[in-house]
Amino acid sequence: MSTTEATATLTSRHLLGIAGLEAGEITLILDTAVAMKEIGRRAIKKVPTLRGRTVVNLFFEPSTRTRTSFEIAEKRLSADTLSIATATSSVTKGESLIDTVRNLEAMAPDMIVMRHASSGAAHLLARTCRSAIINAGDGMHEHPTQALLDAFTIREHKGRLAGLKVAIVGDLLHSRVLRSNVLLLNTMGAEVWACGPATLMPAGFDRFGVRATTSVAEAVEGADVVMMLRIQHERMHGHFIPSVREYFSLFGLTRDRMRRAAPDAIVMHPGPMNRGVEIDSEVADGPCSVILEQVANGVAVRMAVLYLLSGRADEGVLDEH
Amino acid sequence: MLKGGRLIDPVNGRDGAFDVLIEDGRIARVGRDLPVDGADVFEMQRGWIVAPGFIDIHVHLREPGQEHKETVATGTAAAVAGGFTAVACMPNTDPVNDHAGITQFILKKASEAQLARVYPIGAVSIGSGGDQLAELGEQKAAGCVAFTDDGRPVATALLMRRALEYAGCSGFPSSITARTRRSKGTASPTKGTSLRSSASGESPAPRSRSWWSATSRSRSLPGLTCTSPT
Repeated sequence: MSTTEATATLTSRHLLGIAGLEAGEITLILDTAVAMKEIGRRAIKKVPTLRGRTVVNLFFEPSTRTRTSFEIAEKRLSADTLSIATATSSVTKGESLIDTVRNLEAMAPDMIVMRHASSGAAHLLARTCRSAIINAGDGMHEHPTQALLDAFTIREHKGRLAGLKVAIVGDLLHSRVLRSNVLLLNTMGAEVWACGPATLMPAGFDRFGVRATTSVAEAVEGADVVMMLRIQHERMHGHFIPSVREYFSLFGLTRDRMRRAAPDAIVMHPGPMNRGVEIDSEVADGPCSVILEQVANGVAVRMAVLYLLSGRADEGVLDEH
Repeated sequence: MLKGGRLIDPVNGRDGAFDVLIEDGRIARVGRDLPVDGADVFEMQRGWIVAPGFIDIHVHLREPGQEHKETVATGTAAAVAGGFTAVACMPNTDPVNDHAGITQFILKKASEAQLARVYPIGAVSIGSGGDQLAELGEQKAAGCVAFTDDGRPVATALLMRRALEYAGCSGFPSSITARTRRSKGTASPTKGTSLRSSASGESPAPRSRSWWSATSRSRSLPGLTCTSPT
């Protein structure tokens, strides 16, 4: 299946981003997720792998999909979990991020899953914490488990990542999903095309290892995978696009535009989708769409990450069950 | 044959007494004292000038909205009377030409008049108000050749910058990747840090220079103009 041999373990005890992961480590996570996905198909979807381990989910930004996905993954591995939404935490009383986490750490969790609006927040924690840190999205920087579940989904359909043409279309500037995906896909040898309005392209994008274009037709032409990124309404202040209407007419993924892709191309979206803005319902719900599979695979991939970072992999715990 | 006029043709470096032979609506020969060879001769009077059709890239046709001042028909009639075979009309009509529908209306009027070619110039912002970027892509598809807020300077440097970047992806010869300035930071595409450019935070006076450098190749963009706030 994979062209890269999996390594035995992960080098880092944190998952802060795709940056720094070797191809073999990515393959290890994806291969482990295959076994985890099988657990999700059982009548009793639970293994005792992380019994006695405590995982804190710390979400400083709204999240439905990612937070739920991590919680389900943790519960399937029998970890003791605790989710903190910032609206009900001391953060609203003015406590700093580091103080919040030091207080949590005093209660000895094994892992902290964190989403934060500031780029680099997870790295900051990793420098100050004893717990293993899993980055569930930091600002506009990285969202590594999303890229991993995307890669897992692509591999399930295409059998490989190397040599595929992957077109990523949308708000490139603000997207942590884009950054993690580009890093991962480049590491695994895919050809990445990125497309969006020039106003939503990061400066110096050409040095980022992608083929950048403002033409959807060019990006989608012959693509094996078309990945749409959300137009983030909350970040639309600042003249990035004139109107949602014009955005859809220039960049929206329609059935017509999909005709340029490879005949067996798949369509992906990290969610939440804006129907009629970046993607037409006909495509989102059409035969090429694997959007809900991505969500399903997210649980398996996050189980794999939790397991590999827990240290239990070294003990061969999964094999016992 | 146009005979005996003063020909001014800067592209070919000609200025002097030349004859021009026209065949089937196209210029066949240009030269001094061309043989007539049975051609119909139009004798040019002393002081008359033969020149390529002029193009005025800044006219106001006032239609729609101020037809009492000018219409597409009267404006293009005046143009051809003065030797101008093409005009680019400013968007400060009423309503402002900030929308594909208005562009189409102007082009319809121009095709009815059948005089000078009309190249509409669209507004950069809605109503040229400087608050919201106009639908440049749709306007371009409808026939706009350039964008400007005309008499009003583009309100902010940020809007100007975005317009230049955005115009690039609407097929205008602007850049698709902005050249980084120091304050924008070469690390930003990979680190996800906020992109702040000095080009969007400056006072109006020096900003035109920073727009062009911050959007690099857009220097070649012919149409996206800004009236300088003098």
